[in-house]
Amino acid sequence: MAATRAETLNDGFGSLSIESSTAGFYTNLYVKRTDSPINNLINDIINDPSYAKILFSGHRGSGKTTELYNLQSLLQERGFFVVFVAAITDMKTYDLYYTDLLLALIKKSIELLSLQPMKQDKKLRKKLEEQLMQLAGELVKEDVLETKKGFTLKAFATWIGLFFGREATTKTTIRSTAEALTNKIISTFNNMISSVEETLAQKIVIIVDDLEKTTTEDRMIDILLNHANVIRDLKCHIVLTIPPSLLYSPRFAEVAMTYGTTYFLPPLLVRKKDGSRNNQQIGIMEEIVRRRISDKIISTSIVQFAAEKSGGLVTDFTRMLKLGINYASNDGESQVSQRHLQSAFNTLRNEYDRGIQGDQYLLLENVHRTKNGNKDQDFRNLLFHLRILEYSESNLSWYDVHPAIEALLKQRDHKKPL
Amino acid sequence: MNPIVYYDKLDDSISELASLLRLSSSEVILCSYNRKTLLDFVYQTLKDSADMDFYEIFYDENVDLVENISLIRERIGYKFHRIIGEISRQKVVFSVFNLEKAFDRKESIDKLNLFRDFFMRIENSVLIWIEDRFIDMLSSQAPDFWRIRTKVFVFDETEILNSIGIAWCKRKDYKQGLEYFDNALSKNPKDPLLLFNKGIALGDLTSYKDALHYIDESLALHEDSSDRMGIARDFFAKSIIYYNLSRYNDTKKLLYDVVDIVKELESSEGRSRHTKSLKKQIKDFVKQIIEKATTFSNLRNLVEDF
Repeated sequence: MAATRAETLNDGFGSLSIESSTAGFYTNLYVKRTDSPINNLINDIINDPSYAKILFSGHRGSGKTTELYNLQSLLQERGFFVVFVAAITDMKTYDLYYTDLLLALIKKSIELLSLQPMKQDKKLRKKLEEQLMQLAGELVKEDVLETKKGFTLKAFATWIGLFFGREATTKTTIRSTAEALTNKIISTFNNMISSVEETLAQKIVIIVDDLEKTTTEDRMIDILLNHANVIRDLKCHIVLTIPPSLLYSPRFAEVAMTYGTTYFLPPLLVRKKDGSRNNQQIGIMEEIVRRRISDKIISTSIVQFAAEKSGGLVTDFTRMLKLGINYASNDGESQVSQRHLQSAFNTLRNEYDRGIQGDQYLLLENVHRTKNGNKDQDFRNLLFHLRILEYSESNLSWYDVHPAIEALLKQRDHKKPL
Repeated sequence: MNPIVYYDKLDDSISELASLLRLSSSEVILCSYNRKTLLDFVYQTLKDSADMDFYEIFYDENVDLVENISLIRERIGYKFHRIIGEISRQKVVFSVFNLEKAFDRKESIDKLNLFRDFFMRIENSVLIWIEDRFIDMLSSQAPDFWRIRTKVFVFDETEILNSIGIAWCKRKDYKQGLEYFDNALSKNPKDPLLLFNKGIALGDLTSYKDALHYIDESLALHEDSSDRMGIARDFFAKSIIYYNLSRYNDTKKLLYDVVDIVKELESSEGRSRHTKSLKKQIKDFVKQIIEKATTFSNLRNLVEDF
């Protein structure tokens, strides 16, 4: 990835699409966030005498995945071996059960066997393979019995991968089998992990990103509470992502008691609670752009405008800039103007307006005025859909509507009869 | 003489969408519409406007959403498209139609969330064409999928009817054109754009009195909403009608006014394709009238540095 900054609208647009999973991202493009709880999270892992089980949350688009990749790289620097599970890609399920998570972990542990040090210790590898194949023999039943003779460890991993895409009835059958074998799956996984840790002389941390996107909030609570023992029994550090709305669920207190600290990555605090601009955090967003794009294309004042109007959500910020670039390009200009960015913000505002019920505006007005939240379903829903954002300032949480909603509230205010 | 270019808002959206497709390599863009029978017109206009290879993928109502995404994945994965793209040296864009069938089948739309990464990593841009009434459902039921969109382009029925009306007028079939403008006005009687275009068509039919009536209606609405660009267009249209009515002083006065507005717009907001287009129209018009009547000769200075 080139570290040069884009000098044309075309290149600028492309540079804003680069994802955090891209090679070289952390060397060239990552901007350190001062508000990220990642360092505290690392300390929890380092200081936990047993195995830390940590919950990590944040709004969509607040930069969770970027911070988790950063966590991976920081943990690696500190000598940990990190297994990154991208739940959506690795599990492809929309109705996650705890057994699915276990199967995904088994699949990941099979992949660990192909690490060079594991390959070298043939005796150990053989022993672990036998354990895994024994598990496979009990888990993989009738449907592959005929081919069992040629059923290898690789085929077992493929079978797990395919399991996630199977139709509901087959999934239910496999899940029941896996449920009955829960203890065995856990002990096989733990054996694998401790052997790998011993061979590599490194502690393992598993990061499960996007877990909250693979199931409903109720199911997530079921996994975290009713199957807490399963997660607790896994002998490695685990970081699991959960949706922010779960933090306001009446049952979250129980979840919090079961796990260690829950970390929340807030949107960047571009505006303080008193409404004043937070230049330090706006500066972080500006730096995200400046690492990619020259100020010949987008001036500082326009980047700052986009930062403020994004509410500190990185994806809204980059989306507005991309739309601004397109407006400029369509006008045949070589630079983004204030008008182009205003049009981009208007687009964002119109899209945020979609799906809001009339009476929800009262709640939104109230949140904007008081900066307080509650645990009502409506509030949680609006929080889930980013109409309301949770900010953190000096370790205290407060709430405000997204700037796009603020613009809509102002618009509605103007239309009110005097 | 009526050198006015009709104002086509659909053309604005199409131009913006085509520009976005030119810039992008892997964006997911939602295109919403509220009358399916008019969709072909929009799609054809886009294809004519954007210099790209378009491939259509139709949602299969006989299989479920996940199966459909697999089919989309398969279609997009075909090397065939890449080879064709390499030969024609054009960008390949995929259009997905009929996603609303998933809503009709009462599918769990949240499944779309799972394919967020798949859509984000496609090496081509994807246009998802969907009825507007489902857009809100998409945003609330599949929020992760919704977050990856670059923009929702809304192709409104009246804008499309207006655009079809303009197409007829460009073929000099003003009667047909007016029928489309009236049809659109029956749905949205206070749309200044429709009133403006109706006025222009009536001017083309030399019904200047009626033309002035509709342009004035458009002007009043633009003044209400402080739409300076709209006011500039209305002034220019009126100046031409006055010219055709031999009211030369009124013509000149309005031309000075419109030039002032455009200059003010460009200095406060920067140049846009709209100001550029209007400037060109004004220059062309002034050039023509200077040649025809000496009374306009001092207008030469007006547009010289414009």
